[in-house]
Amino acid sequence: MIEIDVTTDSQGIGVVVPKGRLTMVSAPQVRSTLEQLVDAGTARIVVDLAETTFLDSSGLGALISALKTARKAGGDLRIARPTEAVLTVLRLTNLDKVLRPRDTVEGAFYV
Amino acid sequence: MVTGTPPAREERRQRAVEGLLLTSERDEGLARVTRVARLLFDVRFSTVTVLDGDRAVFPAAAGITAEPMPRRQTFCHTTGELDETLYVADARRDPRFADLDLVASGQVVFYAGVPLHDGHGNVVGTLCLFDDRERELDHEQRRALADLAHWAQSELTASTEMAAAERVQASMLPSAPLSPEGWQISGVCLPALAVGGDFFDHGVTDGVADLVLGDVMGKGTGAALVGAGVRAAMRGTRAAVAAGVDLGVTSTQVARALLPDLESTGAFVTLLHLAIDLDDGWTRFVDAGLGLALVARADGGVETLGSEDLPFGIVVEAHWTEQRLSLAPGDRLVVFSDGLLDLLEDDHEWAGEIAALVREAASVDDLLQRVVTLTQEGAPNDDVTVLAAFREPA
Repeated sequence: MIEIDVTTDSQGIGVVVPKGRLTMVSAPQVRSTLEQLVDAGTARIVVDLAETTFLDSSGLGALISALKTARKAGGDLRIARPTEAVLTVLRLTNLDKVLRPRDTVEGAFYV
Repeated sequence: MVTGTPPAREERRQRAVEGLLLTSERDEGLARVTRVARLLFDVRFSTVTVLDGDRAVFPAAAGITAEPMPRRQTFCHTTGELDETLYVADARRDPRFADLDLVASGQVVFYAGVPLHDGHGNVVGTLCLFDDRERELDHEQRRALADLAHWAQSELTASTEMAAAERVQASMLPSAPLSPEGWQISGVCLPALAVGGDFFDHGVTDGVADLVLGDVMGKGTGAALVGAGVRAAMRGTRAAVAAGVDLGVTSTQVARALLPDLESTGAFVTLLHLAIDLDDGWTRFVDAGLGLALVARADGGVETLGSEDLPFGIVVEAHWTEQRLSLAPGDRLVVFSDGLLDLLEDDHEWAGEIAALVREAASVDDLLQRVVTLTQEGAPNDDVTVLAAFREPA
């Protein structure tokens, strides 16, 4: 299992911090955390990847699926501060064009 | 319950047992059940017994190292015949069992056994408890035993389905390398679980070798089902590709056709599709977010193949673009899934390591064998797939 911090900032933006390896094992948990946020009315979400040490295709799948869910609900999902390992995976799959990495959590929705 | 005359019933049952394909993976699931049973009922040992011909075998046992024994020497033979749960409080006083070696030697006094059925109702095994003292199970305990038997039955049959799925998936991979004159083309797919989301395919149509390597997000059965669909859709483009239709066009068509399925299953697919003209090495390709391919040139250079294109299943409006390169005599092309990255020393700088691996190989077969060895040593938790095309030196 993976530890996931969830907070909502003063602008109503959800900030989700998965800590550890985002893989086949932990992806369902991350996915359901994100979906619950959207269901509860928080459709603008920043996933802070600073403490995500590894991302595999299942982890990517969880992010992409949550991105679609958030957009359907009129919001968006953005990622911030990916580690080098995570960035490599995003670049390899060209998904950095869909999930464009942002430098800060605070600025993710304003850049 | 299965009816019929005893010999016919036994024949059907035996066929069902043979269909179980006892495997070590499945046995671990059953072993868990026996361990829990032994602890829960505080008995000397617990087994899952399968009657195979005139023998009884024990795919799982807790508290004892159970070797196969003659069927007539077991309680389970009777449980199977009766096809109902059997409780024997004191076997020494039961004429059906008093003469069994296990009883006569004092090892077993108490026995309880529940028949386990396959999907057709055949008794394919029994979950058993054994103790060396007289015992009775109360109502609650009998219910608990029935629950455990239900679990054991799922383990026994579900993994049979899994083994069947594994065979089907393996049979959908190319069974033999391609060896058109001047070329060696072959691949290997090593799923992390029984089945996986990686696949590759290759074939030759009108002098054009068509190569596909795909990686469906995720692992296991769900990914495998999606992968089978993608493979079929890609195969459908072979004739058009050989006839010279732009790979960007065929990829876009396939991606659009697959999109509803991918959206509804929440999956996406990274994929590389290559068409190599075997006469002159002229190669066209589309990279849908796989990004893991390179050519080790005969002159020592290394070129990676990549693109700006997305995987299939991300957005409706995406397009894919054909790119081109030429494979000269002595050039070696390799495409692989990200599972292989896990096995490298440094997965950021994969090109150098992969190029070295490709160059060191004596042949495509040798390269694939090296990958198999790496995978066995590294035990990655992702599928590993490699597809290579070597053009022989002039």
